[in-house]
Amino acid sequence: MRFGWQLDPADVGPAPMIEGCGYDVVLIAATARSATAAAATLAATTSALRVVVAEEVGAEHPVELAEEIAVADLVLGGRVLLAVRPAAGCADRFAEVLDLLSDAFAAHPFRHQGDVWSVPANLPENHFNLESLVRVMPAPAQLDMPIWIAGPVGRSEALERGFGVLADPDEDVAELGSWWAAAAAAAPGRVRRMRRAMVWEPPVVAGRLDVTAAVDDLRRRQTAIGLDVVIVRPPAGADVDALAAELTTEVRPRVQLDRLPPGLDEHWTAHRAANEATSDTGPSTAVDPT
Amino acid sequence: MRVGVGLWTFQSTHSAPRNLAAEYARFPEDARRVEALGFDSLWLAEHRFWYDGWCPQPLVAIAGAAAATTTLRFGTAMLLLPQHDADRFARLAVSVSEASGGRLDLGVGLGHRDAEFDAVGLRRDRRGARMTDALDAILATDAPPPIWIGGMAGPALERGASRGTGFVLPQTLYPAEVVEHVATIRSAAEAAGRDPGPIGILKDCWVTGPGIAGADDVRERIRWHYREEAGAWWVLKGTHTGFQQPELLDRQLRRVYDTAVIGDVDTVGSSLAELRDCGVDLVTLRFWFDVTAGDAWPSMERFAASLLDGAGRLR
Repeated sequence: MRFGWQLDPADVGPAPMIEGCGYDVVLIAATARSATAAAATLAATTSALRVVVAEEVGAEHPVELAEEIAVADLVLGGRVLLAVRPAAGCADRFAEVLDLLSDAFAAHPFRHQGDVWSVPANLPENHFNLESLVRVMPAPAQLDMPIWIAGPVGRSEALERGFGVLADPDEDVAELGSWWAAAAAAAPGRVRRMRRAMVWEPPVVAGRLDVTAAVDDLRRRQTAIGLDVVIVRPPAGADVDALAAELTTEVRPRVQLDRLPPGLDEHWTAHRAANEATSDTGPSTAVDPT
Repeated sequence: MRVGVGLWTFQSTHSAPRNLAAEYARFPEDARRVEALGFDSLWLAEHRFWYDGWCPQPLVAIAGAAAATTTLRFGTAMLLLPQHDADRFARLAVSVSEASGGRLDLGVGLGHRDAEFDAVGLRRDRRGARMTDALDAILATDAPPPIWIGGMAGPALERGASRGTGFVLPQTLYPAEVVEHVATIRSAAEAAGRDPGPIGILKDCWVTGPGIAGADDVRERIRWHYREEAGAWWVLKGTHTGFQQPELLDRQLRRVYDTAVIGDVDTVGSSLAELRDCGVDLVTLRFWFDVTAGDAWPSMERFAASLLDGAGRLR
């Protein structure tokens, strides 16, 4: 299971620490600040983290987003993934957005005639040296630009296109499992290639990470939906450094295999207890309970 | 007078094929080198939907390089603002400005290529109104970056002067034209009841010297660059591009040739001092073309060592 971390685009400062802790991915969702710009800044401060740029789409021309992502992917040396969900009121055009993004990321000229957009538009008011096909340049660094479908709306498009799925933290795991089972029955070969990601809020009790509950929860999701990328959304007020470290040392090793050999879990628990006993501050506190 | 360098465009052209991934990956290091040389700023330009990959989203590239530097300013000359969604771009501009610690100079132009507008469903004849809306969207944010307008037509002057923006003059002006335009900009500001914003200019530039490509060599390279750009894209007059109007194209290229600032340190220094005396506040020296990138470092280093004051200004 790959581990990731959700960052606020206004504060991606923790990214180097997240990478240093061993996380594979960060996710940056657009807010009042640009997720693409925030992602691009990580080129200077990280070297291996994959960066998921999460956007709501449909309200703006998709080619604009495609260009931003392509340049971000070049800036980041091929480390970008794009996660999209329909913007409010734009579910009906979601398929068209995905068509345009796919055409834009492909390294060939294309023409698109859809319900909402025409590319090129061939507007009669534009006169000079017009094109009949458009090539969005530059192409991303990656030959196949990964696109994930985020949230439940439009999820069928993921199966249709073989895109990855990024589930929201409040989605019912059993229902997700049913969706994946039906998808696998309908298109087994395609489903095998699809990434199964989820934003996850770790269980914190009285300001402390409940390691056992976290491991059990992730194993449950792993079994039910084949979860292979978990994106940690830290609780508000969390000590990010402490929580990130605790997850990667105590939780992550316990969910990489189907089972642990006898005694290994107890060995890790004893090691942690020994470390805490010698620490001046005692157990790390993941969340300020106040 | 502040001295910046440019224009990073990330092109892989017929004359100079490049691996674009490598160009972008190297950009933060390019920025560090420019900063270490003591230049005030590093400038990018924008175009879209062209065979050579000319960067369509320069602010995203700037975000990557700004994080690798501490004092170097970054600018766009020019970013095609009317072609972008006003609200989305305002968020992007503010985000990049904040991420850079306020080191963004946003140079914006109307754009001239119908195909770029048409690809994203826009009418080029509405670019003026879209420019106005997009400028106001940026200026309405909490922390708008400094804005520079590229354009000297009446509406552009009024648009910039009424908003207190700076102006960027094109590289192909003769000295007398620079004087005239500076006066026009100041008059426009006065008419708008505002203090004039800063005045910048682009200048194609090359300092010659031992171990550096010679003046004639560089002039020819630059001419071939502009011959392709103007020949394939620019609608010089009427309805045809430069290749279809060879006399007009040749005339434009003569202007390019004549107005470039190319020569030894003394020649370049005195030409730039003349600009400073005309009232120019910032000169962006274009050493970096597709046909000169990489080779430009020795010339830029010689310029910096001889003509910069250590604070990014002309000595």
